[in-house]
Amino acid sequence: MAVRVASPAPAASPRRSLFAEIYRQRVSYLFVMPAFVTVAVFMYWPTFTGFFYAFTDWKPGIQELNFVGLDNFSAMLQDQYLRTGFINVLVIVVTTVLKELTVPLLVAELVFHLRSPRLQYWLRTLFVVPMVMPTIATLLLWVQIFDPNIGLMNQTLQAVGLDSLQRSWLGDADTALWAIVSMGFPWVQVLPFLIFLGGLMSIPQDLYDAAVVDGANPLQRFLRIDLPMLVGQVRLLIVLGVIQGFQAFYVILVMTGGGPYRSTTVPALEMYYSAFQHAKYGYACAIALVLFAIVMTITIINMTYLRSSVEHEAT
Amino acid sequence: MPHITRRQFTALSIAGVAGTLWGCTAAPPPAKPAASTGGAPPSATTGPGTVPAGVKREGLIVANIEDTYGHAAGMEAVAKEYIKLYPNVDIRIDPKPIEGYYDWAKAQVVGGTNASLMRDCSCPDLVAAGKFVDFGPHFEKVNPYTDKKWSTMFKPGAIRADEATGQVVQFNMFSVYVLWFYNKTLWEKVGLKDTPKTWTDLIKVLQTFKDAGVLPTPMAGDVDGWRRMGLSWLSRITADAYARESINIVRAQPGDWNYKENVDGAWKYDPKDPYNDAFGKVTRSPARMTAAFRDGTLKVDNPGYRDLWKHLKQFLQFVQPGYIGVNRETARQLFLTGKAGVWMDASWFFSQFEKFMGDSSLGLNRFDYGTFNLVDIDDSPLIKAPTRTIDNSAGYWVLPKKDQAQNDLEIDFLMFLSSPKMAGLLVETTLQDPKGDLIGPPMIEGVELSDVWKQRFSVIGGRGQAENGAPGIHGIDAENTREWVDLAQQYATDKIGEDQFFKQFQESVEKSVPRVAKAQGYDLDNPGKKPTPPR
Repeated sequence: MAVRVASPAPAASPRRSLFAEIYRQRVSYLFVMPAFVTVAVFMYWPTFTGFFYAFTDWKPGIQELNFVGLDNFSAMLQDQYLRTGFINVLVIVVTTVLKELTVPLLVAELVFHLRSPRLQYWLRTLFVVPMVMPTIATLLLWVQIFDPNIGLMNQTLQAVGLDSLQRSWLGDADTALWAIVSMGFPWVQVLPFLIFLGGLMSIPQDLYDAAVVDGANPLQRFLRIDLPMLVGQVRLLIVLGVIQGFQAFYVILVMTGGGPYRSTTVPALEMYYSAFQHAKYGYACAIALVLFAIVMTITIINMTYLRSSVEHEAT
Repeated sequence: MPHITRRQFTALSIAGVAGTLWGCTAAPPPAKPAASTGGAPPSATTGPGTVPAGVKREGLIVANIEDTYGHAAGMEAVAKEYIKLYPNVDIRIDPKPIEGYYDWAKAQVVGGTNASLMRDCSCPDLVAAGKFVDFGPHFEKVNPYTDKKWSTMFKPGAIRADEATGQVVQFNMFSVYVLWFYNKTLWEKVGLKDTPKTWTDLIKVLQTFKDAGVLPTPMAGDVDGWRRMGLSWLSRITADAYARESINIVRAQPGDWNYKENVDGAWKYDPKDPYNDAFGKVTRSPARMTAAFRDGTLKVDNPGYRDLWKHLKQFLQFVQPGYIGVNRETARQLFLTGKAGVWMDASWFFSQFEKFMGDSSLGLNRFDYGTFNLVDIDDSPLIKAPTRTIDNSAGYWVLPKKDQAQNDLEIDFLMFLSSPKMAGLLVETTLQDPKGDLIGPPMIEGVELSDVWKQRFSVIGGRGQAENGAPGIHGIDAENTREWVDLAQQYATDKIGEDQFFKQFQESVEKSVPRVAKAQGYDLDNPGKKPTPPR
């Protein structure tokens, strides 16, 4: 038996320096440079300058800049609006994650397991189409729905004889936050839906064939195959939901402005008010820095979990 | 791949980066540098609507007015006329929605803006920091489009200086007046006859509607509803009747930087005269007001203010359920659709009513309406004077400071705009525009309204401007205003009690005093001293 000996690999070429490599690919770099510069100027530069301004009493155009040490951060501890905001944001984060993990998964399951590819295609498209609707239009629609006098919610309750349940949904501190949370019902969110559907489509068919041979019913198939294989997607959506919840701002601004009283305020909204209504830009930067730290921590966790998920898929 | 030399690569890189930065960060510059050449006074024979002799203008004017008042079409019409005179001038009318306008405008001014004309963003700190053009010296000049001193073209009260700084930063061409409107059909249906003159009368009217199963009056109770218009108006206007004599505390005293012997020396307090403390008759000193709040001479926790709130809570029994979650547009809709008896609004509602009723897509049934003034409180011994109203000049346009040539161009455009011919064109076009609302009667001398509009506006006036004394009710800075809204909503809905409300509001005002003093540069130990705001 002839033994073929692998020929030695060609000698590695001398390692090019980074700059030489960039120069070699100069045309490509030239084309991507505007994007890099734009991101650096508009994303990274404000972020890093924000670190500095968080320790100042910055009021651009109004007074000279003074270094105030940790004053802005100690003021945050005394800020009742901010305290309420952090409690509210926890509610929003938990409910956001729940909404992203439940209904979109259910709908993705139903669409994925349809027998007709044509129907599957059309349903998938129909669920994605609402994505083109501007968010602001959706929000204004919900403001109308919750209106106590002419809104669909109270009108419906009246029509079915549940007048006693009628409320000023956004005007009552006991219901305002929950009204915002319930917005978008039945919560078939497009991004989670697509992520779950993509995840289901990537599950090897062999597993389903084996499940059929073993006589698994749909519930067992979901619990024993789909759910374990979607753990990566679930982790991703949890982290995205947390980040999305912490960054909640315009939804609250449009729906209630943080009211009634301070019942629906969130830290990002307090940051906005501090800067643009109260001209306390330094304080706003301090809030931003704290939010950045929280979101950054979550992002690191996100990256860690995502790596685990990829590894899981690779094995 | 095309060959690029190292030098070409370096040059392209620099050009790419520079181009990106320039394109992304530079504010859109004027089409051409603003210039005013041949600045000699125009010929005395130059009539309105012609180019003043020897004057050539070029540049860009951007009007980022708020579109609430629907003046965009009128402004466009005037802009066209101006461009006919000066073909090298470009004017962009770019109205912005009122939602978030103040925040947007503040950010624009702080960050540097190319906007020429904006709405006043209620930002006294920016005014104190000198961010806006002071119209004062310009009003003393001759308007080349009328050959008259510019200030003489305005009706009395149109030109008002900012009392903290003495600068005239607002450009007002209209008057505004707050009053009640009522649905005549419903009024007669429930058996009402005379319009109310007193608080007792008003409550009877509201009760009559309520008893008949008709919503007495809709109100916006959301954050904006308490911050401006609606309930904010009602509380501020009513407070004036309780706090009228506070003008004696907050007016400029002999020796103050803004004290005018010929004005303030001759002034006498007269609560019976609704225009007794109008602008120009006596000088207010915001520094003295702030000092009075610090010293406790003025307090928001006082018997009068407590009594005012008893009245407000009585009134709130007649507004629609869940009003706290209702915005102004929805509240107004209840009146327009014939579901509510009376509605508080300002003089712009006259044209808004016509606009809404003329829009067939809204499906509204036209009804006749009547008006009546805000009523006097007749059941309290703590009242100091008859109730007044918001009876003021309006428009609230400001010019952010830019280079001299650019500001000169913008001033020239405003001179042109406020000439009777152009102001008339603005009014006429606004009224004809389906989206147009007229704030109120124009305050430019020589602008004539049609008989219909004269008749509609004939009910306006005579009540006097409230809030010339200490506000005593509303916030004295943005943070305090927010806390006021927060507390007012809680007290109005019985989430907190009376004592807690007044205690917390008083604390909020006291906390805001040093902030205001710092931002405005007041020396509270010497409130008569000219403020020196931080720069």
